[in-house]
Amino acid sequence: MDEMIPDCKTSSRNPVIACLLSVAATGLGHIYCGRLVKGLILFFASFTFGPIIVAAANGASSNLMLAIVIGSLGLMFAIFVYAVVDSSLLARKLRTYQLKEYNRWYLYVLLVVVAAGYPTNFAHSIRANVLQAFKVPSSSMSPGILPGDHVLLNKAIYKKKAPQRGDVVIFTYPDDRRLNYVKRIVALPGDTVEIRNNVLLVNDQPLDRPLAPASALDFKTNDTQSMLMEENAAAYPIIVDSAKPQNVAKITVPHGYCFVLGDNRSHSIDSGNFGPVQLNDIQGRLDYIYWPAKSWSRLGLYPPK
Amino acid sequence: MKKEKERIYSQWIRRRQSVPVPEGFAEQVMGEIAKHTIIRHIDLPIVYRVLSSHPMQWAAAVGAVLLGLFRLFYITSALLIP
Repeated sequence: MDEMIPDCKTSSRNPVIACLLSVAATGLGHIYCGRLVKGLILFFASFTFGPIIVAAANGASSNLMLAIVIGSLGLMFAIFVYAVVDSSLLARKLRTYQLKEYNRWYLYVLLVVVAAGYPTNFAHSIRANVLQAFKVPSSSMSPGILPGDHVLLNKAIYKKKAPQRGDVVIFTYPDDRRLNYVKRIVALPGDTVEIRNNVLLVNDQPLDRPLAPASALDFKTNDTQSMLMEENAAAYPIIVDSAKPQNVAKITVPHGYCFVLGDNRSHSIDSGNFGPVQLNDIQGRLDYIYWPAKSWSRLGLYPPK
Repeated sequence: MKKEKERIYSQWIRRRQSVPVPEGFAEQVMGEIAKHTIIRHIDLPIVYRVLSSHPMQWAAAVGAVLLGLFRLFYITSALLIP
């Protein structure tokens, strides 16, 4: 009881301190100025990005989900800026302030520690289990994924369902586990795969590959032929270099493995070189291009629906 | 031996106290000290003067702000920086 502050104890509020406390922990500047409820609302509101992203990632992949992920981070910054500015203005107005029981240094330290620890742990957990950003360095997945594209990998998807043919995945490169590769799954366990003079045969059936319309591709050279591969009711463009015929002997994909190829078929190091990839090495499905290398029209869900 | 030391010290104190001090001596000395302190203070950079006024509070503030900025940077980099 001897630590209770007498009712008559007053102090002025310093706008600089209110600003600094708000930077340290969103809402703490308001608590310093005696606005406990508003401060706590801002404090917990700044944490909402985590649950929002997890909930969005567990829903169906869509452009809305990408907007929610980026929007939730934007909201966190907006709350941060609002708290800093508003607490400073509030402190300027308070010429005399009657100290409250919660105006204690150890409460401030506690909130700063929670504000620094909880969201950073949550963000780390999201990166490890839900969503992870990657930058694609090579053109092996052109024309769909271009070098320099920043993409988001959905790591939660394969906890709910198995990988499918046509999925673009990022996996740990089996020959050097420090590297990650991005490729497309073309065959699943039990399927037979063969590439005969640039023609892919899955279970002895050549996949339909009509010529892609020129308007669908912005990546084309004189030596290449662009085609649309149709898989799982979704078509995706590939590039085949007629000057470099690719041949892979017929194999059956073992249990627990899948066969992956780059969309730029003749310029890709993939299962045609290093063999099938373990399903356990797949980190997730590439769902979004959040920072396209060339045109912003490619921003959003991949493949676009 | 100890008693002898105390006797000599007491005698010295008594002699010191009997020395006549000029009028306004204490004010003069304190004024000189204050003047030198102010000159020294003005010579120092303003940042040092501000920081040295409340070093612990400033250290805590800078630490808290760094922690807050680290939080924002970590969250953004964990989610959107490859």
